[in-house]
Amino acid sequence: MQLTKRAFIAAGFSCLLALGAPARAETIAPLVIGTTQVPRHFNGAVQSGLATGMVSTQLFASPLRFDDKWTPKPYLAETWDVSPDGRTVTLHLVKNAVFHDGQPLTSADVAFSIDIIKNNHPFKTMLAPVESVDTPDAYTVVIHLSRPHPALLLAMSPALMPILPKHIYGDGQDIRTHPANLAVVGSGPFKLVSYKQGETIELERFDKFFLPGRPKLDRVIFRILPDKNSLVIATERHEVNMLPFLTGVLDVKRLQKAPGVEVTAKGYEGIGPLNWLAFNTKKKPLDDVRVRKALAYAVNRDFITQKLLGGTAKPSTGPIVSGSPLFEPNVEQYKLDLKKAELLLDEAGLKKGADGSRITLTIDYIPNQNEYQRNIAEYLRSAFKRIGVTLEVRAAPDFATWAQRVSNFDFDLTMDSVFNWGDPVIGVARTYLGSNIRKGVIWSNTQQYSNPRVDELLEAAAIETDPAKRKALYSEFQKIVVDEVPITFINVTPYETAYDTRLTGLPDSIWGVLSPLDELTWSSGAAK
Amino acid sequence: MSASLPTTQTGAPQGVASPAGTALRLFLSNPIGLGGLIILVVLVFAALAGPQLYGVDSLDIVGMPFQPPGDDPILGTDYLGRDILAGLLQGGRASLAVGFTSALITVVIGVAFGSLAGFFGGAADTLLMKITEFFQTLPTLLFAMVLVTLFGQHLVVTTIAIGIVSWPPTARLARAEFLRLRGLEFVKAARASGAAPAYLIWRVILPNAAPPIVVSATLAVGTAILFEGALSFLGLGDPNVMSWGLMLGQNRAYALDAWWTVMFPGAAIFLAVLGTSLVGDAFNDAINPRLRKR
Repeated sequence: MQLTKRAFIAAGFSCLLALGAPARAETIAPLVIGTTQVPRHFNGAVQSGLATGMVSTQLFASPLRFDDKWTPKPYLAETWDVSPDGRTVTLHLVKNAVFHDGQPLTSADVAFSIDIIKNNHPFKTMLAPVESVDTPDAYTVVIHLSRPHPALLLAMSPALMPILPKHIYGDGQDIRTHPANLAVVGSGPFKLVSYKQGETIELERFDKFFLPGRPKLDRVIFRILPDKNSLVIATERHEVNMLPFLTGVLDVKRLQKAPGVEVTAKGYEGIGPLNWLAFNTKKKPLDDVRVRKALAYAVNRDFITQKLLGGTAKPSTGPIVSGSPLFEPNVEQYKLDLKKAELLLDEAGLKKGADGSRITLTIDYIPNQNEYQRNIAEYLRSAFKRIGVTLEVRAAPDFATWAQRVSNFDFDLTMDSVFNWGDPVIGVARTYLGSNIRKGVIWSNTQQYSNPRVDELLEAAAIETDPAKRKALYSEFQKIVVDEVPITFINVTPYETAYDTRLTGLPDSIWGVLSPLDELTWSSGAAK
Repeated sequence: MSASLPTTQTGAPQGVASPAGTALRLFLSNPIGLGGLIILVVLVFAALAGPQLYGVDSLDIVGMPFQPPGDDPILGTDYLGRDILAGLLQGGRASLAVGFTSALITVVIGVAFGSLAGFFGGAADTLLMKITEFFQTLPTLLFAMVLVTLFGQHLVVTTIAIGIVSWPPTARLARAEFLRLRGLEFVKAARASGAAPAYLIWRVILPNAAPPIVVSATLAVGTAILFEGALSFLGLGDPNVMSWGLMLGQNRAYALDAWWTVMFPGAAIFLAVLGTSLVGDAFNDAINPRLRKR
């Protein structure tokens, strides 16, 4: 009997709550975002990657934001002008932006942040041409460039250019270990309430956010679970309302079937995640382009995308992701052709031995990304065996071990996953520039690929302000790189976001959840 | 000098006809032990002859991923489209090899430590047992994971790692047996007739201490197979050699959607472990006089 009594009280209590709901704004349910990524800190000015980016973009505002058509939109910068010679970019900041501690956000903070990012962010090319930043008044920022730099606009996106408070970070402490990286004072729509390392990150609406009426949610909670499966189950049960960066074939299918959950692939155009097979082009026999081509012809990309990845992933054919306006579709497609592959290997002097094997090579892969890395590496072992290439799969116990091997050129072949990050200058050039062969640095030109013409094209495109000419330069670049196969492009990593169907105002942006979630809220009547 | 020494069997306490013969007879008359032995023989035969007879490479992609069992291939395919039956046969080879080899390593290290400690006693005993305790207090699975992480994911490393983490109980068992036996009359007699310590350990005490050690070694085979499964399950298996554990570990993410990818290797591990432990238990019963009436 006690049970019924308790149930009765509970029911009565929830009725009261429901009655009170419309009157009090605080009863908007918190949004729970699920993630496996444990951020080291929240300062996106010195740290790239999704773990930091997802939170950093909520805590810090940036000069610009982007819609889903790659068009820059005002954010902290109300308006901006690019000088005709492309070497001066002027930002006119909003006048009502304040940091979470109430201090106004001014041009000095922007100049300070640009300097910090240029000197500390891992994406060196992003702000490399920035020579100086002038602040003629408190709300005007003039960026002087050594050469035109069309990628600068994308580099001012939320994930790449968080504006830091100079009055906090300008105290002379090392920016990378600054205590404020974990006790954030930003100017974004949400402020940090608490971070339980590896468990939850709790954010709360910032009442003085400079965009009126935003954000619409009161609370955002990032729930960190180490295991992807638990996250999927939590999303099914609506314990997690939004699950970005969902990649597993089976997980996607499962959540597509879950009631009240929607899955979308939108919002990852900016990140441009590519999954590929990289060759160590300085190591014999992979220094011979014929060998690399032969291996490329032995890969059945359709089998990988349609069968192994269950039709969720799009094949990719070149270094620039197909969603980008700079994508060049007319490149060599490397359709499966075992005869051609064998012929190329014969020409390269790799004859079959008595056991049918021409040569033994090793393949590495990024651990803990089974579907896109390990499984494809294992598929390749079987695929290459058909052309007489014995592949040994080298498992790495953790990411650091893999990164150590690959960045020190201690590999033959490796699966790899690299992001475009919007503009080719930011995320693409680094993989192919001869000047970016940097031992020990992962996601640099670890293939040790070098072609002076490619370097020339990349450098010319980086400063070309005419969009058509720029596209032409990148087209030639894509054709050369695909022809010389430092990398065999496999697929676009199909990141998807699962979200509660009662949510509205999801970010309509090429950056997806790496955008401020200031319009996101529960649709009316969805009070939980 | 050896000619005049008492042989091991005459020194054995029970002293009836042939204890080994009795044990064998008892073992064979125990249906449970016989069942275990049959399971093991079938598994070993399948692993040795199966891959040649079946003729499919377990690492080759033979069809579409996740083909259910029943058609061709008969037991279906895994997440890459590899033949499950081929995996079971070739994987059995690796799993059983790991099982037997690590059990052997366990016995060699364990007996070496245990016999020396038990025979000599004193400072040698203290030192050897301290080392044993050191290894015994390390969490076995974690220690094995560390070894595999350090020295690479190869089956040889896995095998040695399992052997290295599993020997302390065998050492303790051997030491206890040696402590018990070294004070008995037949050992004293051998010692009195001038046998060297090596002879005493190797020829006089060890054969009499062997039965419980052999039982524990049999059980260690099963444990080692399980251990290899656990390591592979955690993603630390050798990706270039198919084993039951590897099949289980790699397919576990798909267990809900494709039961056959984990059910068959799981059943194989279950049978192997069951077989070894049945044989071990029956063997224990057969050599332990006090349990003979059971």
